[in-house]
Amino acid sequence: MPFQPPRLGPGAIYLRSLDSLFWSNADLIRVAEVEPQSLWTKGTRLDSLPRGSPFERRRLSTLPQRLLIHGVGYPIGGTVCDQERHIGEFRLWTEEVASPWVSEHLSIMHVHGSGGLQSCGFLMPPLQTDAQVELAAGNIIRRTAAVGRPFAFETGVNYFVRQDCEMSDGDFFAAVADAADCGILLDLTNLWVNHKNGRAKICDVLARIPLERVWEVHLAGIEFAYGHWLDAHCGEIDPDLVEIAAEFLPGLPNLGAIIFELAPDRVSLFGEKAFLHQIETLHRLWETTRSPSASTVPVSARPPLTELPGLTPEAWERLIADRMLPAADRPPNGVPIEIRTADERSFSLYARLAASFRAGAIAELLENTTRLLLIGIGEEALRDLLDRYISVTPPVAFPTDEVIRFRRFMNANPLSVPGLEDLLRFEAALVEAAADSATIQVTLAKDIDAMLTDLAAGRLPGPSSDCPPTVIEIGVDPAPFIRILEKRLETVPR
Amino acid sequence: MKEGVMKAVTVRVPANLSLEQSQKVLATVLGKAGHPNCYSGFKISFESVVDPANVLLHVDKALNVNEVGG
Repeated sequence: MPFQPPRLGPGAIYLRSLDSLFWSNADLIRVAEVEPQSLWTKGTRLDSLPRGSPFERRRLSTLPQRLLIHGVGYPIGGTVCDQERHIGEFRLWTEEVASPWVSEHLSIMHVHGSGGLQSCGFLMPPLQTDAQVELAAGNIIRRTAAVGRPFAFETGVNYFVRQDCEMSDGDFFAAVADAADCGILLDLTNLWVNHKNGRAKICDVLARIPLERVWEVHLAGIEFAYGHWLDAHCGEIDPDLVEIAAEFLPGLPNLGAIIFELAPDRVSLFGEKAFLHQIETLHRLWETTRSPSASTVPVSARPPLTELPGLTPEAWERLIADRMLPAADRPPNGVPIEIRTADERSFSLYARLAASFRAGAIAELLENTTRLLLIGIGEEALRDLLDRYISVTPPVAFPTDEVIRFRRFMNANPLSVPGLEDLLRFEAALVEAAADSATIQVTLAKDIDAMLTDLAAGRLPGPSSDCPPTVIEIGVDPAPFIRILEKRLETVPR
Repeated sequence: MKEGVMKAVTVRVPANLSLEQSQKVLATVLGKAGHPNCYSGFKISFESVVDPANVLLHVDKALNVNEVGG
């Protein structure tokens, strides 16, 4: 008998910054969807495995909500699909929080670069061909067995114009779900973005998917930039989409949860009150699903596709690698397929979005270094600096690795900004200690407190921040600490 | 003959970098060390640092566009 998800209700993606809200609004937020990888830390060694905190895992399991696990970072749409390295930790989280089902993205993240497997820096859409259906379905079947839970794939946003050789979005989702015999996490916002960008009408997509396979729905806010509507998770759900959801959701016989998504960097601007207001909207939508009436309209056979020789999943990923990686990291011998002008525009957008994540990671984890650079060289030069870094350094999945690579880049390309070397060394050591759970000593020739005071006042560190070489020790075990081992020059007999 | 060498002398936590503040700084790093969440728009953290007063987010229904990102 096919899996029938329990009716959990409306909820939201769990964010650390909203933790207290989840604890204090159990009656309103019925489901907490945890993205475990967003809570994991990866060591700075290239081959280290990301790990979560057992304490945080146990604590989350006691949240007053029902919990769901939603994977990020290990999508199931490509030829590179991890079924081993992250699975052990992923299973621990899934079992601890008793997630009735799990989900991941029908997307591509890792590609073959000149130096081997490589993150391309962004969730990229797969081709929508029969070969891709077969590939994704095989990945899902293996992932389901590895995790030991019913599995649903998430329908993704797609900023490309569909090619003649591809099936429609709805047919593709249906074909993958049927071939893998799995559930669908229907991201209505992604479909809405695709609709508004002219890729596919949302009503056409919804008319083609198997309604009984939709176990979960995602909703979020969108925004417009660089000629595209974007799945930005930036705030309020578009009221027009709420109307569409209200019409569509009653037709889903196996809906288990409706989840509101908000990006962590939008929380402070959006606000807790507005967040809870969105959950109230989800409750109204949930009420419409009390007596689901499954559609009995038969779905017609999908139209035949115009085959495009050579456009295989492997060739598509090779194209992604060629357009998303720095020149030195691209696969050799170019791309074996022709590229449309529209595709180049879309790749340009994807590269821009990926760059925003990379610059954002540096700004978040090296906040004071970023401020110092801003004061020291100005905004335009800072943007140029980051562009140069991104253009020669391949993307990585975890922001801690990004910081380590940026520090190496800065060490190799030093700038004459007062205090920069010491501040970057200090902040990078914080990241390294956190990432490796290690105690690290770093020697500084500047007084960090004096520098931060200067930065807070919007000025470059002055001579008052000069100090004798000082060793600072940073660690995270058993609790985060920073202490100063004061060292000073002494004269001692030889 | 004498020469200058480094020698550890004391361990201290200065008043303006208190233990509590230090832990907070490090905890902030720990809290931001995870894999990015699953959205496909602009991450605005860099813009927030560069110009916190000018983070532009939305397009209203009249299509008044506020560009996001650099």
